[in-house]
Amino acid sequence: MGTIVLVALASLGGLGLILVVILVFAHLKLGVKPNPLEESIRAILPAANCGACGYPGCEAFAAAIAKGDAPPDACPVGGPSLAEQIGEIMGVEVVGGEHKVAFLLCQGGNDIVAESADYQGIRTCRAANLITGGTKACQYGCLGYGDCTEVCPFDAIPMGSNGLPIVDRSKCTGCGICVQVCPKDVLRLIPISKEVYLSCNSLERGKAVRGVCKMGCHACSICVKMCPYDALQMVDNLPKMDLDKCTDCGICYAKCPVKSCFVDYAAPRPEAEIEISRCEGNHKCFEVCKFKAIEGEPGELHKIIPDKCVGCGECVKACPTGACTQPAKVKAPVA
Amino acid sequence: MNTPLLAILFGAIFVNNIVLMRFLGLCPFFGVSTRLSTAIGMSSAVLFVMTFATWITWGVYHLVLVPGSVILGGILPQGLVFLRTVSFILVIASLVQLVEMFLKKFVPVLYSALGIYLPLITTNCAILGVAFLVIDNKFGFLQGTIFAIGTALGFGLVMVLFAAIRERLELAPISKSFRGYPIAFIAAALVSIAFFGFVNMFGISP
Repeated sequence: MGTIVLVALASLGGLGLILVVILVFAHLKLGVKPNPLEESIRAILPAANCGACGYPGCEAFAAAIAKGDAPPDACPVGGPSLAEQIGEIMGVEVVGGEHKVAFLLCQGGNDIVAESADYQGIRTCRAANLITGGTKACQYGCLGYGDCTEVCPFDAIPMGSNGLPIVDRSKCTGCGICVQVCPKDVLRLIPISKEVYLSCNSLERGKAVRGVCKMGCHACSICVKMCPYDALQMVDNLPKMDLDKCTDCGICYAKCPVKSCFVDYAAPRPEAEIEISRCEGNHKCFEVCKFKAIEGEPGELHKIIPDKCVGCGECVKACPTGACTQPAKVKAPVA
Repeated sequence: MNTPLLAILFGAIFVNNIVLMRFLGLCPFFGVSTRLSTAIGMSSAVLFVMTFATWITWGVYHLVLVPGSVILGGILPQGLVFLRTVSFILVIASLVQLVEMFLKKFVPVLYSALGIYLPLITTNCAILGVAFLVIDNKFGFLQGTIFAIGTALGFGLVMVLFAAIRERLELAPISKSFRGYPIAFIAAALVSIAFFGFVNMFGISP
């Protein structure tokens, strides 16, 4: 019995050893030196081999980048920081790589928008849309049958109790599948850092919108007039936002008479405060405040006028001594 | 066993088809048969590795493990047949590595054509199955080679057939609960029943 165990161990071990020697030898003789570019890219990839980039795995993706077939920012898992690192290795600059998330351009949930018909067919948005564009009186809004909820591979768009899908910004990867599937084009990808965005899709005139929806944009243009950065412009009865100019100050959200066609993820915004001991009166805050909510002469103590402050936070960013503070913005539940 | 070589070949392709009659290698069968191009890639990789693996495992078995073998016969007359599974797995895994390296260096075209399927074969139970069947059927070296090639061809035939079926299934109006793998399994079962018609062809029974 003892011999058989020994011989078995020895022969299996010997077999393994021979194979190891053969493989090591083969690796030395046959090993093809991989492209060093490829190696260094593969080293920083997430190694999840998820295939989200469209290649069979991280290795194939690294090879494709090194060859120049794939753009350096094609890895959605690594995001912009990874894209920058890859860009550095490849010697190209990566721009505009901010992570995007889906955003619903409609607030017309149950009891907000009028119904125009009773629908008994297949419960999907695409099917409902084929029959006179769905049952809601607004032809531009979300139908609420949850096609986006169903196609989302990350469970990032649960259906809310008001009959509208809610984008979970912490789960959304910005893959855009929901945007493609939505028959109403009422979903859009916006940068995740964006706090304020218009949430209405109706191209109708004010009166027509007022007749069917309590939250729809009346095209009153008040937000366009209020915006201190000229970031809004009326196009097709909707205020169109210039993302380069908008600073997310939130004035459009606050001043909208519908209360509000806009969504502000940072609302409610606390007003800024000035810490008396640290304010040296260098007047920077006065210069950046677009709402004339700060008073005081250069060299003196400055004061915030609470009625005028919208809580945009620009003074906090501008103050060199850290005197302007803003109580931590209470992030609205990511819903 | 003095079965004629031609009977072994056709027997392995049709009568004892590795996928539909022996139900081996089902994972690559369902995993890769969604498209014709991938099905062909996988089948050629299997043909390649299956033949090589049969040679090597045949050699290992008859030189080392069999009772009274050339290498261990003197020390251990009863042989080490119980080490068959573990040693074959070891040998096949290393072989795939070696073949991969070899192709990468000398036949890069074939290497890129086989692509991801080559390493995937390491875990393909059909390869191990054929290595065992060659031993169980007491095939000689040439017979074993023919059997391996026939089995791989049978695998390829079913892959290509099934890829065509699945490409059509994709467009067929199938109810939601059956879409994807369920209908693929049902279709595979029907094709398997059809292959029962080959039983006793060339005088071979499964």
